[in-house]
Amino acid sequence: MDYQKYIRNFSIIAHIDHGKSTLADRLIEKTGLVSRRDMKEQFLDNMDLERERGITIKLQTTRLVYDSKDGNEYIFNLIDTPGHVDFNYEVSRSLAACEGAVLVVDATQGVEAQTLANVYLALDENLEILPVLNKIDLPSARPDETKEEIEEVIGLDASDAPLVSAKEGIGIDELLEQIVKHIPAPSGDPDGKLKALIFDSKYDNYKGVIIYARIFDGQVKQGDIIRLMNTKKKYEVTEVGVCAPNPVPTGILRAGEVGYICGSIKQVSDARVGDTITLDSDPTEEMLPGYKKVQSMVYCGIYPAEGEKYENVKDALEKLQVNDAAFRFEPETSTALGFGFRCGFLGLLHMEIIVERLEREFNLAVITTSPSVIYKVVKTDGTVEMIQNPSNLPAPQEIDHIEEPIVKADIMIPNEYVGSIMELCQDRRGKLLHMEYITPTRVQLHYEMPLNEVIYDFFDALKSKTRGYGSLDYEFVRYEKSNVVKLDVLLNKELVDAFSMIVHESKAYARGRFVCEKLKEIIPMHQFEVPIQAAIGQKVIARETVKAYRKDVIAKCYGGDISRKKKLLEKQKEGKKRMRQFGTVEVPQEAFTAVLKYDDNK
Amino acid sequence: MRKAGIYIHIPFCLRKCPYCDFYSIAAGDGSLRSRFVKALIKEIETAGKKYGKNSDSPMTADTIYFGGGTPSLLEPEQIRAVLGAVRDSFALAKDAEISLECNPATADEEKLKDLRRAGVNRLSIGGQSFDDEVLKTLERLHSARDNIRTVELGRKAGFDNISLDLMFAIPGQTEEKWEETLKQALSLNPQHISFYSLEFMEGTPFTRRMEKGLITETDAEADRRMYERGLEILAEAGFSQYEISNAARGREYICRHNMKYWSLEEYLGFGPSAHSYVTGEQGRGLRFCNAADVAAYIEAMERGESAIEDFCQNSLKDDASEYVFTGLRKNRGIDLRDFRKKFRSGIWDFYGKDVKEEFEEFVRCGFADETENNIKLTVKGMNISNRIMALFV
Repeated sequence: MDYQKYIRNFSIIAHIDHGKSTLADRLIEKTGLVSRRDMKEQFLDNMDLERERGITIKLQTTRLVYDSKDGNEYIFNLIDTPGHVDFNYEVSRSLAACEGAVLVVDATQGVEAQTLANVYLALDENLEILPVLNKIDLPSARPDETKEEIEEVIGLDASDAPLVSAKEGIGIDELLEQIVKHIPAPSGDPDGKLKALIFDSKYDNYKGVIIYARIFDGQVKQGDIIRLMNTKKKYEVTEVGVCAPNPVPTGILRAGEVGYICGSIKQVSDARVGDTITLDSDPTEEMLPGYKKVQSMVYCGIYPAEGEKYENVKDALEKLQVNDAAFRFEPETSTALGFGFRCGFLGLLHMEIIVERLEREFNLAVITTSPSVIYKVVKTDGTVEMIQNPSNLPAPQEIDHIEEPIVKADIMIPNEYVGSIMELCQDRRGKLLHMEYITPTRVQLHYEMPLNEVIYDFFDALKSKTRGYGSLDYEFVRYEKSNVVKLDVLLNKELVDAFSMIVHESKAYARGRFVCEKLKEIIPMHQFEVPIQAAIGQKVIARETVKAYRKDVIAKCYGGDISRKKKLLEKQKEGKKRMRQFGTVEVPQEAFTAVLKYDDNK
Repeated sequence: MRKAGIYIHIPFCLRKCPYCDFYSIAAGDGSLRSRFVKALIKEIETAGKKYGKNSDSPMTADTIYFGGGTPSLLEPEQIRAVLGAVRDSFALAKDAEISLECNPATADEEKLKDLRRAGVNRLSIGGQSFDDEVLKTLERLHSARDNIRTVELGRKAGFDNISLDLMFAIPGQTEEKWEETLKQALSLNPQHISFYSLEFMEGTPFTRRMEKGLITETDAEADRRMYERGLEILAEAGFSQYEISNAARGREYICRHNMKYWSLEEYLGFGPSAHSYVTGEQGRGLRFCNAADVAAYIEAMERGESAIEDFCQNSLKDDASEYVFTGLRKNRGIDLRDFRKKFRSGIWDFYGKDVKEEFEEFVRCGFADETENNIKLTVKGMNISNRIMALFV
């Protein structure tokens, strides 16, 4: 149909820091959607947190209107994608909503890991890929080499790739024209049965859940009764429209178009990413492919810090859950930390993001405990318990054996890193399934690995060992019997349950030493020596000591300025308040996060 | 009788020492100093109307302390004039202690004699060290030789109550050098010694240099060894420590003025940046201080205005916490009966069970002593006194 000829649905994909967000900003600016003055830097990353970390977590879709040199007006739907392995599924669904992708490659850096990882995701969705060389204004830019690399490594023809500088606004016109020329127009059937893909959703206080969808076939109008095929829920459409990027109601969305749908939906988990929308009265028979129910892979405890109210934390978690289908929580208690919540996440980054949002957006002080996966504990009486909090592990004599989740990890790396990455995987108890050459220089390793080895810092280690070129995807395969043990931490001989963790026996010593060393750095001196011990059961496997403090005195107290000295003491007392008291030992809040990150080189 | 100490801040220095954060400016020309002295006299007279001879509740000044800055930079006649103003406005106790801080770089025989004649009866000499290299590090404008000479001249001028200020834990100062300094100081037979560990105060050049890595702070272990060794040497020489950083050769040489700061007693401060503490309504303390600005101070006085910048009405809790944390600086600690009298409650009723338990944990570990009527810190406790005092603020 004619109108679809003038639509282009695409994403911008890039390795981190290659300038994706800046380029998106420039496109928005060029097409006159937002004036330069109103633009915050990096328009599409709408959370402060994302802007700060330079990664996109939550997607935002924008509709641009472009007057092409061919005399026609085009609608561009720019669908932004998140940039981390924790959110690979979301990325794949966003890409599935597009016909093409603009691949941004930094002309000073060349092709990198995520460039490839993203290209493969895009190829999986049969997208047309339009390479673009960015940062062309920098003296260190080497466009010809980069083009060669794109052709060699990715196998894309890059001879016509626009040379742009998103920062300086160079080459943007050329890029816009190429989008028109190279990215295919959608070709759905507007008269067919409604088939739309949910690629994102968010919660709005007034409208309820806003679904972001791509219509493949048919059309959806205000007042229609829609059915979400996987969750099998039905809603009446209260509003449909386009994202400009703020919602603009249009009353209808047709095949090929991208927009939003509201239907008084209360939770984002009711409108899951990847689900297919159809009409209840005239449903399509087949769902769109690729739907996965997201599962929490990593759990940790989140507790109100000293002086923070339990209710405030609960309210905030509820608000976050409404907006994040992948996040879940339930109440739990800890001897050391009191009342709190056990929370489930997609991965470690997802966890860090939620915690940071609690701190920044909700201004809460929270303590997080060591992340854990879910263990399957088979007891001697034959019953099975699923344990995601180490403190709940039954007594050793009641346990027949423990099973841990195993994932299939697909790792893509340049071939020169095969040796070091195999070593890393082996160290993380990985079993190599097979290895394949994707190109003469790119290798994909397929491993089976315990999830608890992946969640800590595997991704960071992979990145650092491959100078950023490695990429990772993983999915759960099964539970497997494993020799894991509970590692406890004792401060001044008293067990602090919030530090307990479940680790493989072969790792317990190293981990115990690491935790003791870290805590030694963080726990302040007391008036007595504080022994820090790591133990398995009764057996102490690592020990450090915080020395007793020696000097803390105001030597000079003359001239009658008592107020200043008093302030100093008050400050000291305040500092003490921010500590968590365990028996006689005071532990700063940051101790809990500091022991989370396991650094191999230590 | 209502007794009070009088502190007089002389905010001039030949050169600012790089570790010092007391308020002072360059000595400048004589005319600024004489305008300053006039302003000072005016402030004393004004305060005299409120607290002095003819007020409702007159204070008798039983200590006067010239601090700085460098009070010995003023001419003895100027000191005499200021003391005269105090005498005109306040009743002066017959045995009043009148101290003056003296920098060895500014003292000569004539001056010391004149100061003594003006009524100053206690000389506090800022010797700091008897090691010329250490003095150089501290950028002092005098030598060890000057220190010795000043003590001798002071005695010759008739001062029979001489105190020496000494510092330790100075970058580059070994433990041996510190012992040597202390022994040399003792060989001069002073009546009193102040000895304090160098503190890196915020905003001082020393602190900036430390942050840049140009000088290193003495590590806590060595610092405390110097402190503890110092106490031993002082004790061997017949000195009794009476406060964290002070020792005297017998009770009669304890600095009565400074003791007021640590005993919640009244004092009036005159001059820029000077602090006062007076007992106000319902017996609650009132703290106030002048702005740290000589020019503004002089102008305010000349216009007949006040130079008070900060004013704080203490609550009962403020008074109690100040009483306890300053009181714990003294070796004799706090008389709990006195606490009860002042605050109409036993100390542990006042602070509660948790504070009592935490304090007693310190007692168990040997940092403090507690008897029925007294609490005090041990030397071990003084080393970490902030931790213990923080319980009470």
